[in-house]
Amino acid sequence: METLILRKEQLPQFIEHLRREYRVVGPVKKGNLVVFAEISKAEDLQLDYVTTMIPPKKVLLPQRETILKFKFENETPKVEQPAVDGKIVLFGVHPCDINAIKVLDKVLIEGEFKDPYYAQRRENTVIIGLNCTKAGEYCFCTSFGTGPGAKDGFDILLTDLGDRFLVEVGTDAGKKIVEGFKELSKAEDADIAKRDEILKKVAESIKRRIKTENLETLLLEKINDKIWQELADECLACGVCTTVCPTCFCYGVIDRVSADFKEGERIRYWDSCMFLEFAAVALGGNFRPGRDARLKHRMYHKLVYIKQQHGVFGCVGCGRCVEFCVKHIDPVDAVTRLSGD
Amino acid sequence: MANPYVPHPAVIKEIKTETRDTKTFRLEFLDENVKKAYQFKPGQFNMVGVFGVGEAPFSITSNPDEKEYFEHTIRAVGNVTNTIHKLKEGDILWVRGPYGRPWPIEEAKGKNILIVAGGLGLAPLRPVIYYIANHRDEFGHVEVLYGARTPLDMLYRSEMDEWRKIKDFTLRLTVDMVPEGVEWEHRVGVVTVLFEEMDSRPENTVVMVCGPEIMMHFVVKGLVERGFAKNQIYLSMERRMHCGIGKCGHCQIGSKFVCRDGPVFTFEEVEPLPDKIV
Amino acid sequence: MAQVKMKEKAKVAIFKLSSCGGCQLQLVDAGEDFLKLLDHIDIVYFPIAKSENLDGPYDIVLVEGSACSAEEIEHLRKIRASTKYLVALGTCACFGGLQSIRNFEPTAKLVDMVYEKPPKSHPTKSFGIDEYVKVDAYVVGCPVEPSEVVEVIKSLLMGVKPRFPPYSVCVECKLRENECFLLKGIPCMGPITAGGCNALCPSSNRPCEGCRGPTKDPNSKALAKLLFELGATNEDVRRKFRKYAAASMAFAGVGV
Repeated sequence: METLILRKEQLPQFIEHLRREYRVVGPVKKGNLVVFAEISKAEDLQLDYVTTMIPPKKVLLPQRETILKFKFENETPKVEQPAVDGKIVLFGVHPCDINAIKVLDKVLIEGEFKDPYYAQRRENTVIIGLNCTKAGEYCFCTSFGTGPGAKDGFDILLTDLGDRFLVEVGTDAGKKIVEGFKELSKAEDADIAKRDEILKKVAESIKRRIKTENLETLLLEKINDKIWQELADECLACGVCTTVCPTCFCYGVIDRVSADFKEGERIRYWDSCMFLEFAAVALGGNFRPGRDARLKHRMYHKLVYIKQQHGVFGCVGCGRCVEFCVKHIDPVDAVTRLSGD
Repeated sequence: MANPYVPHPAVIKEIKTETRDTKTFRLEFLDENVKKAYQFKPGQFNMVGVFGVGEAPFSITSNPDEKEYFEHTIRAVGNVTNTIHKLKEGDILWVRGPYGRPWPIEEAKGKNILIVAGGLGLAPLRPVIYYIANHRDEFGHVEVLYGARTPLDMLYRSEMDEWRKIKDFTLRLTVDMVPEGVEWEHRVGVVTVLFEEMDSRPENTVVMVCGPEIMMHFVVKGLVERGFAKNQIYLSMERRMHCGIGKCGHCQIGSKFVCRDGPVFTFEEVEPLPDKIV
Repeated sequence: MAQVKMKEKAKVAIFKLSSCGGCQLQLVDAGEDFLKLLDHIDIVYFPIAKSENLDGPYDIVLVEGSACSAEEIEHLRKIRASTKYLVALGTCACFGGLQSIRNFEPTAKLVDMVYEKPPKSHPTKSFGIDEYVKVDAYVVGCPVEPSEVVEVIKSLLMGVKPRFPPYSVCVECKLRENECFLLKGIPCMGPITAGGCNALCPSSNRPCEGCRGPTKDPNSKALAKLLFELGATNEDVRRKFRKYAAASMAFAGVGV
């Protein structure tokens, strides 16, 4: 992997260079929050952030998306597939979110069927990651190896070394970008050592841990533990956890017709297994009517099922579900209590 | 790769009323290429929809060797199904598929087959019966146990005489109750009462079960008590589906996606899963 | 269009029980969509907006407000008998509305407080109209969203039940990337309130008041506990839960 140096004074030019070909979406301040939004210049960026509230998945899998359009001409509707927007750079993505995108890729692109809209957006998107230089109160990426440094899943990866960024190139698309921006100098061994030192310190500062060895065995053993009802008694089933989770992909599909009944759209929207209606079937049945069953399903999906299906954990330890839950329901807490530590 | 969300138009060639809330729709794809390429295995399902209302998964219920058409037996229970029931011959439905893991026809070759169905559960098993009829020598003794709430709720009654003509094929029927004035000459009781007269044995037999989950629960219990192994009993599970292709997440039971890892599962696979009745 | 096979336009009537009248006007507020719908519906009874109003039978009736007297209950029953589809329009019709605050005192006591002489009508407690008649579709909100009224009418014209994403207000608030009131220590009813308003109030810097009634699985007890932890008193919590949907099972017993 090629390693280069981008001096901080060069960042504005670099952003301009990107904007020639891409729309650049990066972290910006919004009140006390940091959110991913389109930027027009480097000054808009708030790169010193721990985590955004809504993860960058909103760009790849929009909250609301038209998957088919239909027009009623004569009796037989005419069906069209909507086009997908143009090229984007997702700038300043932290390793946890980079790894979350890898999980989404496994679900939505790999396997027998490929989701064409996610796949097209994914192809149109360049990921410029940003290693973490500090951990947040809720982070636990180190438990899953998904941070504070990224190993792959990016086109370019930046690490803030103080007055300069270490630039690691991950793919051909990344290579093309840095080659077009000729002002980057080569990185020295000292730069790489500095990166490793920073990442080591950040990793050591993360005290929250989920023990992942034998996690599947532990959780499957404790599937009927009373902890799930205890947590369910606190849980408001508000759906915030799944909304802010970077690996949640579940969606609902609904048809909407225009008021003149001449045309319509088949739309998908972010759905949540935490809602009562999620597992409802015809004639009033429901296979997860209890909040304990739904909360358990969410946690098990992230900590057990995705690993069984795809070989990687579905949780990347970003901590958003804990931070933004008004009750701070916490998988780290749940697993710690279940393992009796 | 084709967009898996795009359905193909199929015209309704024939509608047959099975019971007061169930009809069988015979469909033919409009596009000859789509029709030629379409092939399904018994146990698989299509996503069938009406634009403006939505889509839902339906087992394919016709003869898998039939090239011209395919059929769905549909009960009117919600928006999509009630809308489909209002359609007439000549109207269009939008179909994509086939999806899902089929019944273990290959595994059953050379073996005996026991089919246990309840109510609408006979629908996804009908293609198996067709296949057996058209490939009779490939299988051993075949027995079908079928139970419904009342005689008026039984599917495919007009076809049962034809079925009885199949060589070495036993069909046993029962209903939960017989309403006043209705003729019925077979057993009365839940489908598990037929175990008392069943001649199928665990040795060299593949069992295929489909029906309401509570029915499958008791059927499996009865079969296991009679010595059938958990990995020789196959079930067809059902959950809500929005995509049918393993993406939307609604059909998950534990780590299994019913649309992708099922709908056919062995009881051994299903038993450890949470959030189910069977 | 294939789905809407009607020979004539559907006859629509809009009735008002005890309410402020705001929900009816939201249909008109739907603008162009309202005009497009008029190709398929004939609003034959709409006293607030028309001078000529016809009696039933009707195809679709929207009822705004709740029945608060024996006379209104009788009126409601007659309305139900006159129509194919009945829609409960607004939180009053769905859950009893603001006036269901009265449910926690004996009605006779309140009548005494309010009227100098006994009133001509016979006041009762205020519940959602489904307490008395079968309802085919619900549109929650105080007031309802114009787009949701249009959606319900469209669905009924197609002969299907209306479908909406099952969001809480919290989800919509997060999607608009607002800071959370509860996380800042300010009481908010968002987590257990039905979404569909696109978190209008929190996005305008006001905590959610719960005007759209409960989600399908509201853990009222847990939210009340959180509000107590934030310093709310029993009285505060009662007021928050009782303001709009006091008659709903989820909200009635909280803070007692």
